[in-house]
Amino acid sequence: MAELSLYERVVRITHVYLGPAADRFIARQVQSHLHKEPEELSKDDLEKLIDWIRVAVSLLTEDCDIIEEYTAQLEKLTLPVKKESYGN
Amino acid sequence: MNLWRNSISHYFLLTGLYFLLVFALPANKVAMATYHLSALQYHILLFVVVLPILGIWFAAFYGFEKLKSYAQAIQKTAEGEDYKQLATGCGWLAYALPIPALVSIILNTIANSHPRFHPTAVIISNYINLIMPLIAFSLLSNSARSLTQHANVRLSMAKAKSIIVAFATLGVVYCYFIFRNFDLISISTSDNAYFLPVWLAVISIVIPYLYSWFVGLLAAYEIVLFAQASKGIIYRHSLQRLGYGIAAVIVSSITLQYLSSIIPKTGSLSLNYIVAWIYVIQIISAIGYTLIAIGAARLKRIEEV
Repeated sequence: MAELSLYERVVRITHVYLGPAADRFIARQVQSHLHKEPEELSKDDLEKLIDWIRVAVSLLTEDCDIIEEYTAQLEKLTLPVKKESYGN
Repeated sequence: MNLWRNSISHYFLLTGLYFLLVFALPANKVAMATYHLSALQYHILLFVVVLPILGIWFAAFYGFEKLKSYAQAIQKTAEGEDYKQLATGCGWLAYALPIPALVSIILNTIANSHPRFHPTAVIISNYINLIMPLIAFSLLSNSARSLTQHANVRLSMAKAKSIIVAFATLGVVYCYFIFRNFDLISISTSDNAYFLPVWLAVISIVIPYLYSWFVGLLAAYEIVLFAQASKGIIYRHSLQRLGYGIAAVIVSSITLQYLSSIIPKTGSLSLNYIVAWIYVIQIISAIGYTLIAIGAARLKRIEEV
């Protein structure tokens, strides 16, 4: 199975919070704040994108726990991918 | 923005016209004699009675406008067409508040001056009260069904059975009250409160009402089901407000139709406990429309930020 792109992984996390509006929401954040097309999203953009998402989501809900949980999930994507170890 | 495409401007036009008619048209002599009122007192009393109703109408048009605006915001998405139909259904319900009232006040005034017109006035009023919500419920039912299908939500057998039992009870009680108003010795006589032969009243009023209510109740249930099963914590909170609002509007509309169809129209102002009940039901409807407005505004904000 083809590996998910970074954009698709961001949308997948967002889907838990914004349901069917997730794809449109992330595409809009990327286009309007990062001035890029969604498929051009790279790891270097993530920090800035998460900041913008935090601002946008705080306009949609006053529940700080939901905002923190959502951004924490997104921040996991900024961590380096663990490579499998095959011993010495 | 085109002013005439905005339903709020339609609200002000319709209520302005309604106010004008309330004050300009001659007072009902039967009501004046019943309550010992002068013409001025009659008009003031009518104004006091209709004033809260105008607030309820505003809630309806405001809720419809917000839902329409959300539907336009997502028109290019997979669920865009369903929300457009949902908004159109709510629009028919909103317009079904002032239009029958306007038609009724005009027809009753004509009937007051020309008593031979009274049966025609009652027949037209009855059909208008039936047709507009029937169209609304059909549209709401289609959109609710399509939304639940897209979301892979299905009505369980147990829930379907409970809806059938509730509807059968509602239908039997309704038929009991309706047939009390008919002279069943001859089905062709029009000597009843509906001024229609019994067979025609059954075919063109009783059956369409029962169909309309069943479709409406099913739509209300499916909309709530869809809202509860939707994905996305933030999205679902807003959608539930919208869903509960639509359900409250449908149920209150059905209750109002139920009451107004089992209590024959007199064509004049009646101040009794029924008026109080109508206010209570209309307030539930206004709460429903307010929930629609809040839910739709929040859903639209998700599409804007």
